[in-house]
Amino acid sequence: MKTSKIRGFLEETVKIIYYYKGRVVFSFSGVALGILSICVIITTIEGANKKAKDIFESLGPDSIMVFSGAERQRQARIRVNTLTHEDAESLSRIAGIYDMVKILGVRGLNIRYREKKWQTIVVGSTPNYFYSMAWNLERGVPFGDEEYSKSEPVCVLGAKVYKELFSGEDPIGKWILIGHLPAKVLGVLEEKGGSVGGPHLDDRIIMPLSTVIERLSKEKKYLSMFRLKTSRDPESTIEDIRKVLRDNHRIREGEEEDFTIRSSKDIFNFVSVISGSLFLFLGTASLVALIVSGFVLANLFYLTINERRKDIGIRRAYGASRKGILLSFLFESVVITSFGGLIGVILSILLGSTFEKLFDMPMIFTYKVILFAFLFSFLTGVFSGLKPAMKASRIEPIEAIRG
Amino acid sequence: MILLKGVRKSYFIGEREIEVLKGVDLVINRGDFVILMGVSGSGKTTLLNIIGLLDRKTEGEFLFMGYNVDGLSDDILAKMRNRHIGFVFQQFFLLPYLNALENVLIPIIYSDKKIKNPRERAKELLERFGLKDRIYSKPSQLSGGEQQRVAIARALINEPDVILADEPTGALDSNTGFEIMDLFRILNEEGKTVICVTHDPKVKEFGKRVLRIEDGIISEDFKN
Repeated sequence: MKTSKIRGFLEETVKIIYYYKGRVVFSFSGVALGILSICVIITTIEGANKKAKDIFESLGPDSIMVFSGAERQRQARIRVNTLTHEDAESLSRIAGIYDMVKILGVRGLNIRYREKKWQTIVVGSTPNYFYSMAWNLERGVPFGDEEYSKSEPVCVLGAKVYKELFSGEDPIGKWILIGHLPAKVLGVLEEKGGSVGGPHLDDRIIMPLSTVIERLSKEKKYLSMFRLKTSRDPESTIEDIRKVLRDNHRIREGEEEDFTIRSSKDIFNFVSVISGSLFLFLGTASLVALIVSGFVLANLFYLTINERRKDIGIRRAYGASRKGILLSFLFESVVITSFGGLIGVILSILLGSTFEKLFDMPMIFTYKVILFAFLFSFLTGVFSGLKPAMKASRIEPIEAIRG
Repeated sequence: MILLKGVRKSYFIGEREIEVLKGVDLVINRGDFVILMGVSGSGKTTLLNIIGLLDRKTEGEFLFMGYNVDGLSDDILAKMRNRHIGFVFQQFFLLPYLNALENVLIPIIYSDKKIKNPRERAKELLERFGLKDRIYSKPSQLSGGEQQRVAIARALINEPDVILADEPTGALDSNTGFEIMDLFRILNEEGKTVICVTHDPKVKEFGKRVLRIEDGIISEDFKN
């Protein structure tokens, strides 16, 4: 076929579709919605996977978190501190453990810089916090052993806190008020973005644990969590940690533990489960939408074949082959669904940022989305168009044009 | 040009075999204008469909443009129709979503003939048939006579050897019908072969030759 003929063919198809637009609108919007949800799925899954990978990478594969409070309490967001400094001491003696970050979180503190106010969590931690968490500073320097040993009132701001208090002003060396304690800003953390299901990672202030215990918090004995790194197999290390802590806390056999242990693998799995269930939910919804619209298209198409018998008869009389009729009907169906797919992709791009805010899920658009969208709409077009097109191609011209 | 010898055609309706053509002998020469008369059910449309390569005979000999078309595939017959035949029907059969010009161009879509500037040619044909202002109108905006003239332009666009018309005046009032028949007469004078099926005795005056079909055989064959 010459290109001019292909163009003519395309123009004619568009005219046919326009002429039968009432019929087309239904299948069209069905496909658009189906493709829209497929786009949303793919982008959110890509986003969630990247998030999970980021978390996994920043934690490192050899990380183990030990939280205060039993599993049940944590789920109910009841916060009790049960881990102690002695626990830290005992855990550091377990073979293979080569790094330990101790954390005491103090929630709901009022922060002030000049007339600006904010409320956030203060994380008291050891100087290895930044390195162990692989969390770089966007500007300034972290606190070191010297500030730590002297319990100096210094702090590093999370990106969110920095934005709220300083809005662009250089914060280094400035003094802010944390509760009633004046503290000097040493640096600002790099932005991490929203977290999956947890508190906002950028909304925090990091201070030396020593300073928090001596000058900010009334809590002298307990800690919120530890983050450990092991050179051994994480599973067996976890077993050792469990034994030591049960022993320290005098928990008898069969009694519930007052702490929770997580490996970085657990956290990765948790995020994957979230994205997995999202995939299942949205995936089913969009497949149903696509299948339903495919059936609607197929049925409407099938019904209009009778209406278009004369059309087919005329074309056959004037030289169209059976294959030509078959292809033109298939083509028409594919054009309808592809156009629906295109609308779906455009909608998903337009709505993408809204979804992102709504579900607090990062979405990542790649060529894969476009590829999948068109693949699915193409297939819907072929499947729903096949039976009607075959019926059309079997129509005999003399039957079609009789009377 | 067209030769039929002892052509029979029968259909099966359930178990029953119904013979529609019972031995037709006929020669149609280039440049002829044949009016095929007969009452409904006489077999005239079946004969036209066989000549037009839309239907196949059951028995007998049939040569179209000197070719024996027995056993040719549907697709080859479609190609031959495109190349050699222009069809005109009672109900015009214009495609509702295309304008007059685009309807005229339909045979070109399926054609492998080298027609120069088909769009220009289609416009010329429409202008010649008095449809200059109707070139971009949809069929629903045209009167019956206008639609039939668009259909005739469509039949001519691919420069066919023969025009087959099945009751072309059947859906028109008698004045418009005469205009259409007169158009066929002019086309025939310019050299086109025309075969026209009708049951209306008034239009037979336009033909050079009148055939009457009765009960599946040609009962009369005379020159006007």
